[in-house]
Amino acid sequence: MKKLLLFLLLASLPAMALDYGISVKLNPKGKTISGTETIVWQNTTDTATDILPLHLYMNAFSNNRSIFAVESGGKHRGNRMDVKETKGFGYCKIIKVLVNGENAMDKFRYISDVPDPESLGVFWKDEISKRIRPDKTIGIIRLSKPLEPGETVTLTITFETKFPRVFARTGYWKTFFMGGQWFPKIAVFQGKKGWNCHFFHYRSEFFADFAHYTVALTVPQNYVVGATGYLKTETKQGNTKTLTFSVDNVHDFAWTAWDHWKVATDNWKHVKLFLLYPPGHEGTVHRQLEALKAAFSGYAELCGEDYPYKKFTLVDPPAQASGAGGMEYPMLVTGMFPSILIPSEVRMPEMVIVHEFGHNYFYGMLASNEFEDAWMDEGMNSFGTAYAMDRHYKYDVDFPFLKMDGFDEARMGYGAYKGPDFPGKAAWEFSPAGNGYSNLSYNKPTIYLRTLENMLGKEKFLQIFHTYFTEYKFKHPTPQDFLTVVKETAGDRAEDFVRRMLYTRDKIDFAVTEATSRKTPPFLGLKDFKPIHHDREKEKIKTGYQNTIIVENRGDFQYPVSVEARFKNGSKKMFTWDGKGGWHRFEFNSTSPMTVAIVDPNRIYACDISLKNNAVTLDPRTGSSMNKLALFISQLVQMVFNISSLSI
Amino acid sequence: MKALKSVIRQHKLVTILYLQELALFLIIFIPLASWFHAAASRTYFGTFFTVDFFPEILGKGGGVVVATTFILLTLLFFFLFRIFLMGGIFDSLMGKYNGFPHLLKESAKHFYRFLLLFIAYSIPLLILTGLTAKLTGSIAHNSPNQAMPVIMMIVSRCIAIIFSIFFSYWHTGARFKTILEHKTRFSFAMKGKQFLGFAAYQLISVLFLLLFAWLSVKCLTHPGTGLMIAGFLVMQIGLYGRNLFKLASYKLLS
Repeated sequence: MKKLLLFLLLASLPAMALDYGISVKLNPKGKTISGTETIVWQNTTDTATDILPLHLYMNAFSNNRSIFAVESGGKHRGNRMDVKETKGFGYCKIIKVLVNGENAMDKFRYISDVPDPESLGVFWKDEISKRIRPDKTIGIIRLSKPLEPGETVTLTITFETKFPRVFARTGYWKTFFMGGQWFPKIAVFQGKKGWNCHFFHYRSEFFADFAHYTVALTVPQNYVVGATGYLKTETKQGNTKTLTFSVDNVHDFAWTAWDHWKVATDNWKHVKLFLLYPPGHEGTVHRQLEALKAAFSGYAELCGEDYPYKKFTLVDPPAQASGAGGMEYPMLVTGMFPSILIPSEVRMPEMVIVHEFGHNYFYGMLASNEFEDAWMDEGMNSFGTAYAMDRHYKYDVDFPFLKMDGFDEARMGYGAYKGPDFPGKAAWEFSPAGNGYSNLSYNKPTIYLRTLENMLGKEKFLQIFHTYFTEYKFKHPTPQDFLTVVKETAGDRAEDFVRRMLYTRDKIDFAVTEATSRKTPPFLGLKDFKPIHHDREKEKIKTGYQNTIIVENRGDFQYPVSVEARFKNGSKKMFTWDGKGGWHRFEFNSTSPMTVAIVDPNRIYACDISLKNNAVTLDPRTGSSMNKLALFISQLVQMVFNISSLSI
Repeated sequence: MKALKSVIRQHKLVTILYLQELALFLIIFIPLASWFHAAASRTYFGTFFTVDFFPEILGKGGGVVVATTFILLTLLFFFLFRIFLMGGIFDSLMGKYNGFPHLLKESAKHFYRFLLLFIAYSIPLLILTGLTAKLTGSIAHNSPNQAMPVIMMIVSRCIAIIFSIFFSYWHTGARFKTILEHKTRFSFAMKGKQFLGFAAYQLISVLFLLLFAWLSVKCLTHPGTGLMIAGFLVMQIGLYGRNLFKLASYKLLS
């Protein structure tokens, strides 16, 4: 039965129009890898092409003038590019090119050497400025005659890749190697729309076609290797060994090699799990594998299908190569466990593992264009991360006195964003100020999708993701594809919500602006022009409270919202407002005084931009929490003073 | 034990040091608590501390920057005042406590000398601990073993404590000499048995404080006003004890 299912799965995959055969040898001393690559590419579109663009992304690290270096300022997640020594730089050098067996080196140009690169139409016009040169992250092969629809071309490329000292994703530290973006890769041809080939950017680097890969990697005998794909053969020659990996239907291939790797294994359903970790991290193995399995289960639930490959490798890079951490590749990701002292209540290493694994869905199988629609992998995957973490652990930070989940983190990040951008932009188009890219590509989709889940209910919401995954796995979905699924599954309002999240700055902000609770005064004056007699005892019983709550919709979405009044005797009263007309007044009587008025008490609108104005208390107590916080800080200052002033 | 008993008899000196620390606590606590209450009291969420909400109420008007600057300036002032007080404390440790006005008078007399001694002994200590941290950091950085940074951190801190004890010993000797001779005097003398007793008191003082600080954190991280008060009291006992043992270590050299 299992074999039949596997056969059906493989049969459902599209036939590979792209095949990579790579044979390379690692030179640990020179920090290089060199060899030959054979690419067989078939033009499956209805349009002919006379060029073949290649990603040569390691050249982003070849100088401080590449687009990546300029955009990043030579920094990445706190790590710095080593510009003092030339050995810190990296490159991917094309040594020889054969097209269908014929020498075509004279037809090959790095993009910076092409006289009028814009005329090729392979990248966006606003993607590069004349200031940013030389950038050699794209290579162009001109064909002697156009490749017609249905025709196949075979490229044989001899190349050498030099690794940079790792500070951003790929590179080396001493004898450790993380091989990402290490080989020439063909860009994506979209027929009449032409080639989709972007430069290597600070924040985006992924868009490629699914392919069959066979990679033979020769490394010193004592090296341990982890890689995309399945290990087919391992042969030894002298002091080296050659490992051959093979896999279908992935759009990238990454590997790591180190002579200090330790290996732990486990299983999740049909998947063999490998954890490569550095010495000293033995105590973290359980935490890492637990997180990985939580990720497998969480994403299977979210997307409706199990991870389909039979192998997965999690790489836990040494802290000295932390720049390689927190990265995603098909069937292999890197986590980040910066110190063995991180307490188990702080689940940031777990969160990174879950997030990077999640990319095997949102990027790996749903291979959207990260350059142009980063929110489709980072945003949806950040939601998936918070979803899977919530499902397994509940909290990312889990102290008795401080609890925080992924949605809290995303709301805090997005709440602080005041810039002019929105998620539906290419990665390089975000204003560099205000952390716009991360807040809009990661945080905003996370809390808006959470809001959508709350509005629709879990079942309907999961139906969206199940349909999206079923229809677009192993394809290149666009934002419109997702919007169509949302519309067809959950209706116009849901689609409008997601669309406005993507392409506008529209926000949700409900507020309680006034809440009062007064004793109902006794009736005074005349009734039917005659004095009335008061029965004081009766009135005492009848006298209640007149309450008023004024709520405002300060946001841009006119959605219904609940308003809750809480009373001193512990009872509650719930109202609903359609959110229209800007504001609404609720007036009602009660026997007990109202103590709190809250709008959206169940936090349906997880993306509400300000929680501060969501509730008003008429019983202005802050409890001991504020005293405790002030006490904690003051005692800390006291202790610092004591220790420093009496230190010597 | 003799030194400790003697300091217990002169408990007013310990109390003076502690009261300075209590004053520091109040100067920080009162405005901070008032600020937090004012910011959160009208909001229902202020009745319980939730991290996703808290930055919102503190985020406006640069309050955090103002509070941090206030705390740092207060710390600086108290630091200088402590150096000032130590002249009188050391004078009293050598003889007997003759009342707070006399202590202040003696403090004023020796302030600049004590300030100079503090700077003179602190700078080499900082340089040595910095070099140690750099060396251990380099060992940790070059090792593939990820336990090494933790091992090296412990080693570095242990070495820093040992350096601190040596410099504190010399600094204390110099302060007594300065009081005796009424002019700035340096000391690098070393008496083995005396040094060991001094080091023991110093280590006990630190461990005592850390133990009580840990207990205080335990109390504060659990709900309840009673535990909050307990946490405060436990921390104050820790500070008082630390001052007691610290003065005992000084007394050994008097």
